Amino acid sequence: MNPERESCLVEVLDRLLNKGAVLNADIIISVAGIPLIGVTLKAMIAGMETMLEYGIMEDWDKSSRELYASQETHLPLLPGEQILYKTFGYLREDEGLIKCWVPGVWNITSQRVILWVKTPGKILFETPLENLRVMRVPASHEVRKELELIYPQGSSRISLTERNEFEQALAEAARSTAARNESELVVTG
Amino acid sequence: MSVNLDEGNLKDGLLGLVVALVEIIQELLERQALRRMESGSLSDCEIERLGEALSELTEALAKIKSDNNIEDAVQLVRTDLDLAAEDLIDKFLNPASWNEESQKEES
Repeated sequence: MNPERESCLVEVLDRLLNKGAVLNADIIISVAGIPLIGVTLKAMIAGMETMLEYGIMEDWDKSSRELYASQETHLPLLPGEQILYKTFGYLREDEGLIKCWVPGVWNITSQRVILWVKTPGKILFETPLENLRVMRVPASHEVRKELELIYPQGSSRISLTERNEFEQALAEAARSTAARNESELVVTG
Repeated sequence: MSVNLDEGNLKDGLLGLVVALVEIIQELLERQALRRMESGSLSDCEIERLGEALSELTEALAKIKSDNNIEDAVQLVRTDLDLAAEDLIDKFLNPASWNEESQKEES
């Protein structure tokens, strides 16, 4: 199988978008020869670049890009901290009325493990790499692969699809942290 | 002109159809993204974000395909759709063949 093969359908649709298509329709609904309702329809489809070439939706393009840029959030890092690995995953929330898995992006930095939610830009969980232990736990769901993070203040259950890669990245980050300040992290499985 | 799903395994067939359609949209988005990037109206940060998001989508699709073992089913649907598109273009470019075909069916 060659993923780079030329697909005829994609080629046709791409050409259509590059050229752009316009449909105009006027309809009058009349009863007994008396026009009662008028409808004017205008439909257009084109790639955004073609739209802009014709000066359509320019303001919208600009404002939506500005809106996104203004809402973009960045994970606040400590001085000298670097993101080493990130993957999509969940955190088990057992406190409060609703017990659920909260989704977010797990970041392993040179100092911490952080669950980050891009919108609205919030840290849901963070713990320093020092004195952190990781244990595999049997999953409550066949697709989920769960881990337990154990740290001095308590423990948390997390879930990731890329569990092996996460463990590996965590072990590596911990090794370099341990080399720096001689504390240790044990990964047991 | 038809798209055949595997009746023996409707779940795979249906999932294959959906993934094939998403794949087509994804390829279209990729081409349009390339056009926008080349036009020079996007900032470097936007280009990077766009590239990252599209490659994530590609990865996710590949993962769904391998997880469900539907690579072949998707390939089949895509071939069928390509043939259908080819057929349609052929009829547009050469309307005479349309007539011939319908006459053949009648006889």
